[in-house]
Amino acid sequence: MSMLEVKNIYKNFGDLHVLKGVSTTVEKGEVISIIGVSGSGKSTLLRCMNLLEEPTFGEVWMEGKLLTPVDPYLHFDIIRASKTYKGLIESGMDDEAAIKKIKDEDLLLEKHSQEGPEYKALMQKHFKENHIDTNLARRKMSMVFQQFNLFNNLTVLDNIMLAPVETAKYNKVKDLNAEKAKIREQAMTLLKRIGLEDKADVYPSKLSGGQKQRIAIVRSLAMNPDVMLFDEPTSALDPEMIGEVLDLMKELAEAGMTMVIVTHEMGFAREVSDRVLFVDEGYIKEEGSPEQVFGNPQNPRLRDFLSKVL
Amino acid sequence: MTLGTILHDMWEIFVKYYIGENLLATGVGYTLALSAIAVVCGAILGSLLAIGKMSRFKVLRFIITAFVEVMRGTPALLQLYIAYFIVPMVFTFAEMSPFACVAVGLSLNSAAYVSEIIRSGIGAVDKGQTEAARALGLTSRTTMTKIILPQAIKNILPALGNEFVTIIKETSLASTFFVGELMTTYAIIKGITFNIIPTLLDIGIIYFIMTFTLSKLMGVAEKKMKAGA
Repeated sequence: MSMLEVKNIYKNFGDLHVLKGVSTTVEKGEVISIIGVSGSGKSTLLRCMNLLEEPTFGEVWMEGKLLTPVDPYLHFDIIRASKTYKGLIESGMDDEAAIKKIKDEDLLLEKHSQEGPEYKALMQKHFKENHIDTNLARRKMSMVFQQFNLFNNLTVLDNIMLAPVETAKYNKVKDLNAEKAKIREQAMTLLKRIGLEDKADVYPSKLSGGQKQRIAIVRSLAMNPDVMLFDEPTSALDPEMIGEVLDLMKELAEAGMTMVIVTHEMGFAREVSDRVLFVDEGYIKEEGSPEQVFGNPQNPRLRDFLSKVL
Repeated sequence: MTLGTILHDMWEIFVKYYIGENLLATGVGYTLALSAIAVVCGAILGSLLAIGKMSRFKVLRFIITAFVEVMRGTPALLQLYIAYFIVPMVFTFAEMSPFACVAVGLSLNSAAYVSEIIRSGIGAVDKGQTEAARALGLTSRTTMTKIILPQAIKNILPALGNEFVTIIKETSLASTFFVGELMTTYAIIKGITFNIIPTLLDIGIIYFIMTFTLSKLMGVAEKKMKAGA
């Protein structure tokens, strides 16, 4: 079972088609970098993974659980249950050709009931068996933002503690005070790890960008996530602060954290990634080990991109 | 008429009527009472409107938008007239005094403005705050109560203070219905003395002292709040 899987993701913002059918799989412990020019759709792809953007079509899976609605085009059994498919078969088409035609021409009807009760029941069955609540999934998949997004109204310690404490409340933990003490201890351990334990009671406005981002990272870590998403974590930092953030991320990668990183730091991507995705014009145009992607790029757009950034 | 006589008359009217006849206390009392009722009711009602405007129900959102636009797009005096005649028809079970009618009218007017203040106060909080909270798996309710509202309140309170000042000035419209607030004293004194300008100037000074004091107090509160965060 993969840690994270996106299947044929499309994302439209009105008439703007940002992602045009992207599929990829992230295995446990893998570190994946997503590179590409600005506006290529790499951030949107990352934000679709935790549903900060809802994909227009396609599915997102995490640890065997479906986060998005069911996309009927990805399931042969659902397509075969549709009236559209049955009509095509009756008109003399064979199974393979009918499915291909339906997929290519988006023939399934928008309203589930119009495709017949069998189709509707299958859609519901798939959903029921696999779907997980977005909030539950996000607690195991934290995200680090370009602009840090520390909560301005909370101290550093409260920033780190908020989500674990609220999660304990959602889960109706019996001894909340004991749980809080435990969470506080863990938060302080995390702060010590990045050498900022003296900032525990400080508000974010008093911190440097590098400090903010490292705290944002440990805020994510406090949820004990299975996978971490990084959306250009160093792009808003002054050059002298990039190193401290990258060092912390490297540390996480070495400790076996599953990470998906959208980045412009090519040296970093080359060093820590197991796999690099080059996203361009809404597609994954090239994908492979850092040696392949940086050392022997095949796609002309990738070569062009690398010649500009390296 | 020289400046000297105006100042002299102003002083005389102030002493004789505002102090002697106690018009200062009653006038200011009614004005502040009316403003306080309008602001408090407006704040409560305005919050409800703002919450309603964020709801999923399209019809509710439409009704609220329509109400707010109408209240902001028509003169307050007209609204007070309508309240003056309609409120007694609606609340037939209770004897509605002109003061109560005007209070209802001003409250509804203020609710429309307050709902916009709250909405824009919430809207001014950086979208990244919501995204970070939701990305950590917090529900939209927790995100609102723990992250967004505490930050929005800092945008909302100063604007709410300004609304209070605006309302104090707007209560002068209530003098049309002779409810006894500060502007009503003008009609009373004018009727006795026929001395218009000094009376108006007296009233102006009293209004100014009220609003000026209030905005200074707001300023102090704002500074304290900023220091607290």
